[in-house]
Amino acid sequence: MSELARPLAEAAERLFAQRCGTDVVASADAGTWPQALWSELEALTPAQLLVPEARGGAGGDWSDACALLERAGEFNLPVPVAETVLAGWLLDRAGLPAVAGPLSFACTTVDLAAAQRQGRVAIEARNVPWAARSAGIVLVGTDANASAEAWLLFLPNGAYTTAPDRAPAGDPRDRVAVLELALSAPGVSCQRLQGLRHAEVLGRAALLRAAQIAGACRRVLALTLAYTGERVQFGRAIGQFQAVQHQLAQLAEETAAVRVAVQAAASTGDGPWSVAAMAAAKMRAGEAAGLCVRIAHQLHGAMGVTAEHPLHQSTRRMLAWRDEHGAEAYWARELVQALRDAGAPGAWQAIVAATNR
Amino acid sequence: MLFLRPDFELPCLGASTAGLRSAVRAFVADEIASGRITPRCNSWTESLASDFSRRLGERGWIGYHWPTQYGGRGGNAFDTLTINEELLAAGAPVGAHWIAARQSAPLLMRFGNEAQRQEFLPRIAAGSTYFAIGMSEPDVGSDLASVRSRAELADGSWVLNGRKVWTSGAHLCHYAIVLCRTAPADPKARHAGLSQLIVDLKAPGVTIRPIRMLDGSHHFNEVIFDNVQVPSERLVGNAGDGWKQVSSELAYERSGPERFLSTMPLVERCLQLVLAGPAAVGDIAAGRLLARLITLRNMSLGVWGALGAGQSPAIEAAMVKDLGTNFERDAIEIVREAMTADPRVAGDDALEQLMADALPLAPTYNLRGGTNEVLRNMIAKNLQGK
Repeated sequence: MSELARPLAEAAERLFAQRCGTDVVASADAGTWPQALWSELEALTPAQLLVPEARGGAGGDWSDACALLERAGEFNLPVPVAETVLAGWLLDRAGLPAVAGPLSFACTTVDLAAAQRQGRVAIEARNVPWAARSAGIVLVGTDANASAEAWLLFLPNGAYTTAPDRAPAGDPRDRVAVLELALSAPGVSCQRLQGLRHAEVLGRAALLRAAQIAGACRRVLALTLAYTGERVQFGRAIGQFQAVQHQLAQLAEETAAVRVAVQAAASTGDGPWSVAAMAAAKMRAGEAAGLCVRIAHQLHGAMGVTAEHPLHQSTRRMLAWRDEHGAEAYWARELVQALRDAGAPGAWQAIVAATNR
Repeated sequence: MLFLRPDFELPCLGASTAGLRSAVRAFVADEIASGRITPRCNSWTESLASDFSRRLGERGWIGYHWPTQYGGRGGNAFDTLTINEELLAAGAPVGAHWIAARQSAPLLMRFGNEAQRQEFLPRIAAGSTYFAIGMSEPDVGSDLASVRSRAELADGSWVLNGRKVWTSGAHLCHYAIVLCRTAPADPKARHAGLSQLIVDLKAPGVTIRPIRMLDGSHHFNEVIFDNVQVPSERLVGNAGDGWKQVSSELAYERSGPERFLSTMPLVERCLQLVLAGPAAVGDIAAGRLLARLITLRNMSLGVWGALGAGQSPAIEAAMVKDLGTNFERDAIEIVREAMTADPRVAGDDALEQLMADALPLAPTYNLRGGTNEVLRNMIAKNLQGK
């Protein structure tokens, strides 16, 4: 972790512990924007986390970002912190000025290279996190003639219309529409992301979701350990039954696996193995999320499926995050393709190279 | 638990072991090309080849990180991991020396006396002396504290009586480290009164009988001790410390890469075929295997790093073993289905041979070295702070 980013992660953890209790999450899930929480978080400049120090940023790396998002995931942070971190990184990479406020991020299949040539763009996007609430959206699209390249479109709030929608998580996932927009409109920007591949950007977004899943797994493990230690049936805490203990062990194993997968991917430098490591992390995180949610609910019994119990604040988010920016099958396929693209003749050598980092 | 601590950091090997890795890879490729060895799954339990073990010993590739006075080459723990990984991934016949190098030597290093270290460790490193594990008995499997084999001190030697089962490779090993009672069982202190003896398997009174596997192969044995005289200097550590020693030994037994690489030759062959072909829907199943493997290798590095730093990551090792052996079992199922559903993989002679060897033994993966149920008990009790 870098010198400037470490205090940020620690301050964020203190902030979340103090300001993001289950009541704040419940109120946000019911539709109230947690302005106080956001204001305090914004003071820690998440949009600057991945911006180099030379350009006034915190100079953090992906390990720092994952450490922050793991904590955010643990506390079910109901604000677009992953999106703001990604958007801040990409705006800087595009040479654009920083934008204050919460930012949204989404990938699009729209050919942005063509849009730039035409000077106009039309967008229809679904599941855009906090689009209505954000100061703007960073959309990452492609060039139909050079599919590996990443293109950025920045739309300031006001340049698009939204229809409210919600992911199973309860967090806003809006529909966004731009009928016909001149790229010369104020605040709008469309350009190629020099030196960034589309797969890499999607991989980074997926990695941050995996980090959130890692944090959420920790939370459900803690909740489940506590509940099975308190709930008494047949004269003893249910956590004393082996059938329950075995599931607790699996829950801990999956939690450990995601944490390791995320940390490994975050510390894999840009190069032939970075997409492979991120693909492995998101695939493994998605797999673990499904199993951890199943176990946590099974062990919480009927109590865990009530609105009153905070378990669903984590589990609904885990189920949403495992699909966002690519579910398991998507990244499984991308992982094989990444090895094929790298010319790996077999699996073992590639695994060693990817994990030795 | 190491993996969940906020300050946990995964070791980063970078290129530090690259030279050694290529050397081992080239050596194994040459051994295969010249027909001296045949790769197979489960090579660490099924393929015992003393000539191959000696050739490894000559190169210093057994116990590479041990102190040089005991036959090591002064490397670090990750060097040894590198050598072991390459041998396992290639399916090389490491079964003869495997247990001696993996757990008998570390046990002697930690609890043995200087004379024992000098007598045995260089011979283990040379690939010429092999050890068996004498833990399980006919009525004692997961519940190891209830062993009945017993030894009594008489005229300066231990007199050992009892029966051990599932003793891998005893018919080819020179010694067994036998867990036995040296004091009567105390129901209030079940773990007290146990000791470990180094028993010469050629000594009078030792009878070794094969227990054949379901596929007819022979690596398990029943070993019977009938008034076997064991010199008193062959006691490991102190009398009564057996439980503590065995617990530490099990951490070595459970932490190695063989707990997720047993089916690697099969997985490797399958993935070679997938990677050589065009993208297809079968990539999804292959990618799921790969992602799990990558994560297991990372977790294994974490455990190995902790072990090398002198910690005792028993719980972490149990987690990796549970996840790793489930992976080995699932890998067989996924490859098996690909062999009929994925045209890139179907009809490959080498893959079919590897599968034929690996499939019948799949039920052993979740049993050997502690059943997954026992591992989960340990993990849960640790989580619950018991």
